Amino acid sequence: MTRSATHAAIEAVFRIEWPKLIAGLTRVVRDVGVAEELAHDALVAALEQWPSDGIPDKPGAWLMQTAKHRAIDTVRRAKLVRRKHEELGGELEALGGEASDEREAIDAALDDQIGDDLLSLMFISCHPVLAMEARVALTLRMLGGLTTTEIARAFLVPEPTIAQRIVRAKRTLAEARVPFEVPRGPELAARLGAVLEVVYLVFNEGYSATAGDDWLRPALCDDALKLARMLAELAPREPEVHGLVALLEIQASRAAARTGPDGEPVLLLEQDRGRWDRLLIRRGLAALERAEALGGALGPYALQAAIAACHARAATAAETDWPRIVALYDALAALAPSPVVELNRAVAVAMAFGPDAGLAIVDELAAHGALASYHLLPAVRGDLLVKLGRVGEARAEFERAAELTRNARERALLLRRAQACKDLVADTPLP
Amino acid sequence: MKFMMMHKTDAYYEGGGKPSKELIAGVGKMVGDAIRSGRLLAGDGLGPSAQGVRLKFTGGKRTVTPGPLKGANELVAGFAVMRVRSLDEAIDWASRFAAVVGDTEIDVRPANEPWDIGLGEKPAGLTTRRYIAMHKANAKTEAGTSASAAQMESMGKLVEEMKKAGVLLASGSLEPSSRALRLRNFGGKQTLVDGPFAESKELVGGFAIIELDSREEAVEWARRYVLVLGDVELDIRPMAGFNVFGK
Repeated sequence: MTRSATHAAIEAVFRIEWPKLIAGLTRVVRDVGVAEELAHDALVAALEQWPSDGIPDKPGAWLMQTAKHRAIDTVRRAKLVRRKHEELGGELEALGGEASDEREAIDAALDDQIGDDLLSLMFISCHPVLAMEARVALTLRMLGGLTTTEIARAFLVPEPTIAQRIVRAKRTLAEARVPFEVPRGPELAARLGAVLEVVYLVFNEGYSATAGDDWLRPALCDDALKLARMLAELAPREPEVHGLVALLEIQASRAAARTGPDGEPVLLLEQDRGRWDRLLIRRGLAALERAEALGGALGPYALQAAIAACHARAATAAETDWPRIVALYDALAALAPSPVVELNRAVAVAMAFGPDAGLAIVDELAAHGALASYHLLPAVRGDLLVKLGRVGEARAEFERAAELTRNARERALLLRRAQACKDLVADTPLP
Repeated sequence: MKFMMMHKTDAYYEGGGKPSKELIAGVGKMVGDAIRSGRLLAGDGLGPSAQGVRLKFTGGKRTVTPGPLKGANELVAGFAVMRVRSLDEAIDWASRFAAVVGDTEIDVRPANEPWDIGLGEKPAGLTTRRYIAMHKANAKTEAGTSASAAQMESMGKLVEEMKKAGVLLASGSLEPSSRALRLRNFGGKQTLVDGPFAESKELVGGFAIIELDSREEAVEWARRYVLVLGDVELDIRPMAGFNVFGK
């Protein structure tokens, strides 16, 4: 194998092994920062040895073994330092006797329950003690296996910023002595919510980029999907986990249809449904079934997935079951009330019961002022006004929406809609 | 990118041999890993070719060769997973497919269910069986020639009909073998060969479809897979398309 081929192979091995390696090592050394260093040392060792010795038969096991040896050294060194402090130069020989027990204990700890380790790693990476940005960066680094360069590129932030975020996050976790475990009882629900939120945020950043020139950054969607599927495998009894998987799979199924030939956004009801990915829809519907089968009332993610499923099941936009979507939004608004949900409910109400009914909800929202800087409020209002024939007012709304969005592609679309309104006004003969 | 990992069968399985407990456990662990990482999309083992048939279509004429089959031109270009009441029904649908694509060779073989390999009971009242139809590569598919508009339309109609009848569970098409890799693992030694593969004599034993970021990652998964499978030839085929319609 050539040198570059070996490097490519090592990189591939690392992508596969990284989360397991970090998770297993964190369990032993109880510090995600130290675990990352150990995993990194193992990578360096692989880069040194594999090109000449060849790639081992079980590269994953090799990496774990190498990292384990370093972990043992680290643990022993830490103990040594502690003992020196405590006992001032006593009983060093006791260490020799302990070594094999210690090694066995670490071996057992590493080989056991990889699933639990990965789950624990997710929980600490998304721990509430960390700022949201830090949770996202740490999760992508430790579980997604992305490099700081890749994360920086995905979020359009300078690399040192991401590196700093990760360093601080690891320090915060160490200082707060966050335990490496899967939370139980009432804490579980809240902590799981935090994990789901991070995964959803990563997905959304890829699905509808808040800033930058491109409307979609598919790699981030893929990373979020992988994280969500991983989570569903690790916590199969949590309905909201399956709800989130369902939501992401179905939303991702539309990725190819969401942009036109020039990269411009195409709205849901105007998308070519033939370009929706049936495989992802299928997976999404299956995940939704699993969420429903676990019983109880649907949570916010499962409800959103159920709404997405209504669209996925309709062969054409005209066949959409709008009354059901309104009912699902009603349930969602009752469970997790937010102005954004209310805005979406307004759109569904308009489709089910006419633009007047929808506009009433939007006007109430506008009067409330909660979404004053959210571009979709004027965009939706403009859309409903067009349907009601009030194009002059609609144009002003689209222009306002274009001012508010930070995404270049979206702005262009909104300005086109404003222009279309202007053309309509110009074409209408005066009475 | 989606990859199909396609492993070849051998005399033991062709003779109706069942996989060992160790193999089932090893494959189970491997599949668990792949599912956990969110990458495994589908996978199936094939029953012995004695339970299948080979269909050859030339100038609208069909020749049916009952199994056991001898490996001749075993490079696959695409496949469909069907749920049907009998092998004859599977042959009928495969012939409908051939009527659209023209001259082709299609092997129809049963998919292994857990109870076929000694795991669990066959559900009472199950009257259908899953069959996998694989159409073989030819000069056209290997050149990557796309179907004509008329063929696409007829194929679309056939797919709709099969979906409505609840027959079509999944379908996939493979990139030409020039983009494929072949990993051979014999006597503890692995060799990796680049496509194209003009000569493919080994009958397919089963497949797994995995979604990955790169060819290197596919090779890495393949290397792990052959360690579990033992002496085997495994093709790594990038997929042009893959659709799932039912269970």
